[in-house]
Amino acid sequence: MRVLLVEDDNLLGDGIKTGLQQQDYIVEWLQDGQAAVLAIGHEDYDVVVLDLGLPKLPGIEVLKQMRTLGKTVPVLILTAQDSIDDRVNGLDAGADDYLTKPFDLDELYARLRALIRRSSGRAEVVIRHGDIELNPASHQVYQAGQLVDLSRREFAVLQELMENSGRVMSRVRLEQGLYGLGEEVESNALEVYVHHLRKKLGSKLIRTIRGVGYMVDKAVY
Amino acid sequence: MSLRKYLLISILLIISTVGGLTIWSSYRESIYEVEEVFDAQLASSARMMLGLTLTELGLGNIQSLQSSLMENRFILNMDGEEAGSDHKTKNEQEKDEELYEAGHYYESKLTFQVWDRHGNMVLRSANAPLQPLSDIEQGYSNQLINNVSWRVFGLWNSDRHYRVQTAERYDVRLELVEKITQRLILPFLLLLPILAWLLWIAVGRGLQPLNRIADEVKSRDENYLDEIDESRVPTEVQPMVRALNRLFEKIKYSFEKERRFTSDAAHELRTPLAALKTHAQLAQSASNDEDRKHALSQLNAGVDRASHVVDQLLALTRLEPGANHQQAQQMLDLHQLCVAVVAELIPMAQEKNIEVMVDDAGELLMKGNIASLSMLVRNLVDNAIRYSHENGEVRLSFQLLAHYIQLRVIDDGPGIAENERDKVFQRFYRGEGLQQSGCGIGLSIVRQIAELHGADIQISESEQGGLQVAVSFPKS
Repeated sequence: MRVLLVEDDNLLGDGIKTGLQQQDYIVEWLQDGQAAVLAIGHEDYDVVVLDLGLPKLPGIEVLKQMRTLGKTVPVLILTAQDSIDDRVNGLDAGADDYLTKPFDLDELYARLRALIRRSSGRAEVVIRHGDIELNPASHQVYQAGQLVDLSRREFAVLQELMENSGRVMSRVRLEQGLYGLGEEVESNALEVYVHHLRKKLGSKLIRTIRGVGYMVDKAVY
Repeated sequence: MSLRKYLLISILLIISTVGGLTIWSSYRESIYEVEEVFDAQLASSARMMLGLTLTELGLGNIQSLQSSLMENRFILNMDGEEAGSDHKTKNEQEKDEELYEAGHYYESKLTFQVWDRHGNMVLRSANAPLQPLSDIEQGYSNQLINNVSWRVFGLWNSDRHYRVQTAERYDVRLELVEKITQRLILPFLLLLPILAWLLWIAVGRGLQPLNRIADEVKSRDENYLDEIDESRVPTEVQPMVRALNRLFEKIKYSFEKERRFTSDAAHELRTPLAALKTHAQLAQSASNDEDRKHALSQLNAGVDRASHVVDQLLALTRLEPGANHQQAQQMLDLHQLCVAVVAELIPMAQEKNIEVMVDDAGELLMKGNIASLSMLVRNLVDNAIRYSHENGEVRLSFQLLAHYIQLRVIDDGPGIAENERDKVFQRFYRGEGLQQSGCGIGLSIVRQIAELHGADIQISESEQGGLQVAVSFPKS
């Protein structure tokens, strides 16, 4: 899962980034509003964490501009102002949720999971496909009620595919979900993780679309 | 003091005074007029009497005339007693009035005598005394007879054989004047209470706009400070309403400023607090020593940051206009002060390998508060170091002008865009300095201190393209 974090404060930004990375998110951290609008316009993120008090372009403007651009990525705003007006303005400008500073990291994690779940159209907390159950909160995968042992990267690839079941996920998108932008990706790393997932969960779950990427079929019940 | 009572009392006083004066002058006027009329009447009756007497004397009928005069039952004799009885009862008085057709009770107040030139009485009215009414034989005179004041007129005939004296009691005249005056005073006294009541109502109505404004002002509080509609108040009250509206505007503005300050301060304090909480939680959940160490060191930095913000906020609050700051001023050497402040900041500058230079300027004596001026210089130099590039240069230079001592703090950082130069003095405004951990209060503090010292601040681009802040202190 890729998160865009927009926070101008060095200390807080560093803390949130570290925390989200510990939760296996790929975090991109920007410190001003203009850069945020640019990044949202060019990159695909699963969720955006946006501080409202930003230099160059206030958070509210970032929200308005990205919504005008047609970007539907869920946005959680961080605000130090706890007046109802601020929250209402934020939500009306296109935010999906808000947190008031100071906040609890666990609450931030939970709200981000909820935003991602809702944006992929699920009501349930766990993602199901056949007899496979993936829990984004606990980072656990069950098959027929049995816990399946997966590495963090394997889990990330599986989550990305299951969240977007029925859609072909390009190699680039999947690789971006695995690594931050700056990191080097070994050319066959993705194939290795897919291979491991097929071994652990059965070969029918993930289909290879030649020349494009991979997909998990839409679950049929 | 009630305006209504004051207006009522003063208007009534004015009306009473004017009314009193009018009545008094009418009184004087009527006395004069009455004198004229009565004197003329006295003279004309004297003339008539003289003519009549001369005619009757010629006809030899004088005795019968005298006796018909004596029959008048309305006449009192000179002693004030009625010819018939001693005292009149009320009934008799009413009877007298029935007899008006035959004469008048007032006839007793009129009298006359006719004398010949030898001093013998020829004719007299029933109530006339036997002695002459007056020693003055010709013309008007006032006479006191039996303690009653009479007006007498004497007249000789043309060949000076006979003279007549007619007299009239003075109180007849006074009575008439009194009656006239009473007629004037009475309606005035009767109308005064009605006038007072009408005035009370009119003044009350006139003052109603004031009550309405009072009610309107009463209904206001810190959340509702809208203007009072000036067009709906009388012209005289408009200046007051205008002043009130201006006051409301000021209060509204300062409330708004206060609200914004609180909200900005909340932001500035909550962000470091959020950072503290985040790093504390990261330290708790860290799975290895390295992560925990990083989180703890960030936690430490966060506490420094938060206390810096609190310090700056407190400093700013203390410098707020109206705050009870003791800004004791004394003579100080600005150059010395700058050197001392820069010495404190050298470690910070060395972290970025920045050279801070203070130009030599000798003694720069001025009046000021050492603590707050040190804060001003510290904030400027701190900013300069923060925004300068690594290995850069910060310079403090001085200039002695005719009326000013100017301190210039010059850095080689990115500077401030021209359109942002006004905004940087606003509290919590943060410009382009992305990587800096300032809280946006520093320059507000600088401006506040400068204002307290009557100094002027100018921001411009330095020769190297960085920022130059010039503070001009008035020479004392």
